[in-house]
Amino acid sequence: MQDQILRVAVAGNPNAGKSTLFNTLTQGREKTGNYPGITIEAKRGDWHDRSLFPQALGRVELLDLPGAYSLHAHSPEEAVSYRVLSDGAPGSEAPQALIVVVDVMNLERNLFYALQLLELGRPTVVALSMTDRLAAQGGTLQLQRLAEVLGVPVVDVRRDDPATPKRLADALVQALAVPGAERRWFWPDAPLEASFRDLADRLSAATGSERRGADGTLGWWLSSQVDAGELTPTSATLRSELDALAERYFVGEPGVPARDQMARAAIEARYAWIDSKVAPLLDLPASAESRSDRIDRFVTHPVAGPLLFLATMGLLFQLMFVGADPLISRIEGAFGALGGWLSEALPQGPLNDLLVNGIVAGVGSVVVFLPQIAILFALLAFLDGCGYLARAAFLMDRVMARVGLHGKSFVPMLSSFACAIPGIASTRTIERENDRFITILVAPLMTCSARLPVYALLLATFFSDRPAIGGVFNQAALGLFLLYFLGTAGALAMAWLLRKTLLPGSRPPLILELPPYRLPRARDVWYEVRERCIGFAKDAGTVILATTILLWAAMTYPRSPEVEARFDAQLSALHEAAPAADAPIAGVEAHRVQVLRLQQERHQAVTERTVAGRVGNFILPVLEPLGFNEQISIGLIASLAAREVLVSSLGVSYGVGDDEESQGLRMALRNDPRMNRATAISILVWFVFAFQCFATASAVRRETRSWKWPALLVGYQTVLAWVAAFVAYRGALWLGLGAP
Amino acid sequence: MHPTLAQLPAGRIARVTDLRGCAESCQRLMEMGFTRGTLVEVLLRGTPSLIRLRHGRVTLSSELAQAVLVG
Repeated sequence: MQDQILRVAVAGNPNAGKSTLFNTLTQGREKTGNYPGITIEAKRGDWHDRSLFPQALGRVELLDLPGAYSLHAHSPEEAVSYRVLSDGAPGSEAPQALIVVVDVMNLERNLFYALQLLELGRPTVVALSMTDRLAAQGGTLQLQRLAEVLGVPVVDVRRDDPATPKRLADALVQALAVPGAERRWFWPDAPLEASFRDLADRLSAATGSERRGADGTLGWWLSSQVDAGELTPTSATLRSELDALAERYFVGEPGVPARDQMARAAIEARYAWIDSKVAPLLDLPASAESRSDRIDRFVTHPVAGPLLFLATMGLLFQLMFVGADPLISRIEGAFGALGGWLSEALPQGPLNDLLVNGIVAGVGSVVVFLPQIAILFALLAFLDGCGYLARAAFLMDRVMARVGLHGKSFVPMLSSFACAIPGIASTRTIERENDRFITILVAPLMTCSARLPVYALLLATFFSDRPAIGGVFNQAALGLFLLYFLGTAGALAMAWLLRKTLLPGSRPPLILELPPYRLPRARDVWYEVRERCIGFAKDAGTVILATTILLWAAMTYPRSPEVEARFDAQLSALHEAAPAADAPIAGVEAHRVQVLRLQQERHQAVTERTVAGRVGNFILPVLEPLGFNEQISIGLIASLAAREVLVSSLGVSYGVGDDEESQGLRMALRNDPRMNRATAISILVWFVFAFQCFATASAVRRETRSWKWPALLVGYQTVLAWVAAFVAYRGALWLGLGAP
Repeated sequence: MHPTLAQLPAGRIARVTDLRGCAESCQRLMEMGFTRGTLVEVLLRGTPSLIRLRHGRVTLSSELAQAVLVG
């Protein structure tokens, strides 16, 4: 019996408390899987407490379905629910039983999806969440009667009750014990129902061999009655049968075809059933203004709302940067130390170099993102759990609408301030493909944390010692603000442009539920953060690591031993000619500068002959109008692995080590006659817009399932960056900032 | 001709009488509870507006609020 697995799907509306229940039952032991080729993620995990079930049932595997309002999918995320119900989670099979989570405070609306799931005819338990809240508001529900009318066990799963898993397990066993339960119908209209029964039988015959079997056909039919395109494909047989039936019962009005009319009739039929059978069982005093209503009056207020929003975002950024900073320096320190130790401990040679500058540096540049991603997603999970993110989307809808996006694009763009990759993944809640693709294509323009080391270095080097503007605003701080602003404005402008050109469409309609406010559980937030961090390390990490190693190779090979030997001979000659320790300071210093310059020349000569050096020199003519020199050009290539690599690359190029805090690099940059404030501005603007991250392109490819969109992304970002940097550079020169 | 949800003053309660001219979105509106005969209340007018229905709160952009006829 060891191999026996009972697969149970946990389904429900968004915000119904599904994840909380899933986490409680699995104790957070879950794995996320992807269907090959498409963007689908579904979590699964074992029911933690096996002792709640009879031995014979075997292992109970739970599949966590993304929240959905209907089996008829309107967004990629909802399509996942449909897909898991029909095919199972990746690496698993279709679920044999269902737990449908229903928020008792939203009973009628949550039951709509629940009824669709009941129509599938699989053993089902209805899990009522938020019952503690119902009690707190003085409401009651006749739970026993609800179970009778639905014909399945109904269980109270309030989140803080330790008996919840036991109650739910008992109900599940009870539901499984009913042999071949008759399919439930929730249709008040007898003649229509009879014809649906007839249709279901004929469809079963037509598609009889399919795994769904006869019992589920009606449900599947209902879910796919309107052609939902790629989201929920309908077979051709099914579709023509539907059309025939629809035309028999419904006369299409102008603009509303018979099939749509039938779809609407099916929806209204379920709600009519809910209104007549279930609504009377719930006694919820509606008169009193709820706590959420009172909070909302403030949060959605036309003046107070946006102010609170700005304050929340300000705090979020503050926590993200200030909180992550010590961790980031510690990680950088640790990886630096590890690299240093390895480089000493292992014999010199290509393997040493690969390990230290390829692998350790690559892993380090992935891990260094994790503190910000963890903090951002902890805060987002908290705000989402509270219910505030839905309000933020509501408030931002007005702004987003101006450029043809809607409020749901706000969270992906916000996430992209840490890193575009999780931001791109979080577009899956957006219904229409064009809206979603626009969001994906502009998210990389938001200023991610990888740009910060570059900004910090150049701003500190060229602007921090300038007089404050108006005596108040530090130029470097103001510059940082402007760079963030430029990225965001660029993203919004590109969204507008894409909407007008390649991805046209009307303003996307926003339908968004505002859930009641509720304090999230710490462990639900923690599971979310853990999942995001693992997901990032897996998705982006592999690409960043691979690119780092490839670029390491491009920056190292082909080697030029004779050039190295020539410089090494000069260097050792210089070392022998070193002045004595008690020689005058000026002489020691002059000698030090000489050594440094020679090392720099050696590096330059060696790098020039490598693949990266050749490519860098090859593209230099294109970059020269922007004021970039060879070091910058090669640095741009090196930073294709991750933007912050520019700093260490410059450090090495100038022969001053690769510490961004190092005064040496700032001095070297300032002393380089080809560098000045105008070139600094040019590089900064380039980094605001340029494509500098292969991991992002790979994420875009995965989400759009085509190479076309990542190619477009690279193309438009490069053109935009060049034009913007050119304008900025010429403008800066004109303003006289080209002086050293 | 019935007024639409977009024209309903804040605080007034009305019944949904029909949905017009929104095809795919109309179906989603209905799935989320905007069926004929449902009582709705406008909590906040504007773009988007905030609607209470069936014990829940939903925000709709103005195009959709205009698609919901009330009486």
